[in-house]
Amino acid sequence: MLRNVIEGENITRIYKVSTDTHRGSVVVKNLTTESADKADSVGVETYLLDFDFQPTGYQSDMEISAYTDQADIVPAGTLGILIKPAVGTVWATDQIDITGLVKGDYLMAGTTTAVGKFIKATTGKSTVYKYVGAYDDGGHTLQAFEIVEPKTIA
Amino acid sequence: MSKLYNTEIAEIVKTKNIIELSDKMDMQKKGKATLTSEDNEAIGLLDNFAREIGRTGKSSENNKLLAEYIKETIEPTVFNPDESILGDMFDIGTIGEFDEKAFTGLPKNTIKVYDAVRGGNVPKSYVDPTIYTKKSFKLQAETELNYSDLRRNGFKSIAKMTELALESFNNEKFYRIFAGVDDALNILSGDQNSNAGSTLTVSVMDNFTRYLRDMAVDGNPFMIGLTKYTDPIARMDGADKFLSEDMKNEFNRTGYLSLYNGVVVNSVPTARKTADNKNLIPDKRIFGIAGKIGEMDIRGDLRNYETYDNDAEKVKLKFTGFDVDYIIYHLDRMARIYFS
Repeated sequence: MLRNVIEGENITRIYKVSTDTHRGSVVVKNLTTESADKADSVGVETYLLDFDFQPTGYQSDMEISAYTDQADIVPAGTLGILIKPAVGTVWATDQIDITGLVKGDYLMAGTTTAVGKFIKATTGKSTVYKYVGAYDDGGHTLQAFEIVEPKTIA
Repeated sequence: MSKLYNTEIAEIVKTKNIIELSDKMDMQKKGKATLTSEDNEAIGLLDNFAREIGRTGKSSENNKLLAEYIKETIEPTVFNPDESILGDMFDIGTIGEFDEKAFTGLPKNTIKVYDAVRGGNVPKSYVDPTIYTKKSFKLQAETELNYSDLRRNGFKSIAKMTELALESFNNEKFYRIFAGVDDALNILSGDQNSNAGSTLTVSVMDNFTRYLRDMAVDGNPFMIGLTKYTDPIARMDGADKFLSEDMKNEFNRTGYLSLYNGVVVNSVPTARKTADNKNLIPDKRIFGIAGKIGEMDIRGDLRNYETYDNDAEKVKLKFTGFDVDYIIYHLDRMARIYFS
């Protein structure tokens, strides 16, 4: 799930997704396969994944929660939206592991089981994501982060 | 089946016995019976009907369904406070966005008098006007919708979002006004600010209600608090001595007393919360109002802005301009009981 908390001018690019990815994951563009892979241990040259889901058929006049798997996962091989957020915008996602995070810490993409998810940035990495606290989305707890100028963690 | 009986099929089923008809057909094939033209007609119609049901699930008259997709819409319980309370507490008006209002307070009479004999002086006393400070708050809310939401005609529409935003604004206004009243009461003492400890007692309640009745102007003073504080009023230690039969009946029937010691008891449901899970009035308080305590002005108009983002196919909604000014000048018409 990805929620935009503070608006800005973003680049939104339609791109193919290589694996089943949740909205709000951090992805990188794989120029060889021309699809987006879940980001692994990087914090720069990354994009946020989003998708405009609408129920069809018999579900089309029902209200489906945007948190269901059907609405939240972009299937492998289909098109999603890659967002390059502007500096100063604030976003909230649930694709994040908050172990050891305090407000002001920097975030980067995780690795192995946490690919595509945000984790606390490690020394030596550059990143544009800064954790600013929890965000309540009508009962669902998401974590908010701000886009800042690229920073190398000392 | 009742819808079926409007058609020719209905007539046939009523007048002919289908089992007989099918037997007859069978016998005709074996050469032992002949079908009349009426029979043939009936068979033709029934046949068509059955074929069509098998193919489409509905008859050509479209008056019979095999199965229905039943959709029920459930709306969450909406809790909005009774805004008429604010009308009893404040003179509510409007003010232009760029206007200003000034309050001059006439001083209290503090001229002292002394015993006198001819030909001498007594100490001078002075009067000084009071200054009233106006409080204000400005609220804003934002959300966004996809263009596809607008096209699908589900519940997500700009009108619905505006309605929800307005509801949230009104709830927050209610909370802020009472929080402001609570704040103003912090500097008062004595009967206007009684500490009830952890349970309400008859003596605290008596002092509180006596103060309100003394200060009442135009009609009954009222008190307001969360139900968890106002409901136990009837059960205070020693209060049952003074409850009449009618009052006891009312208490047993409704769970609370609507009038105590001449003061109307209003309450706000404790269990119901606003969108951000707060109670609508501050916790651990019973407020008492003896008449209009001040003025509340809605400043300017609500401004709604829609920004259309064609690339992301989203519309961003910004609701702003919900500005409220309020001032409390009759501090002596308020009282409260606070619990620890």
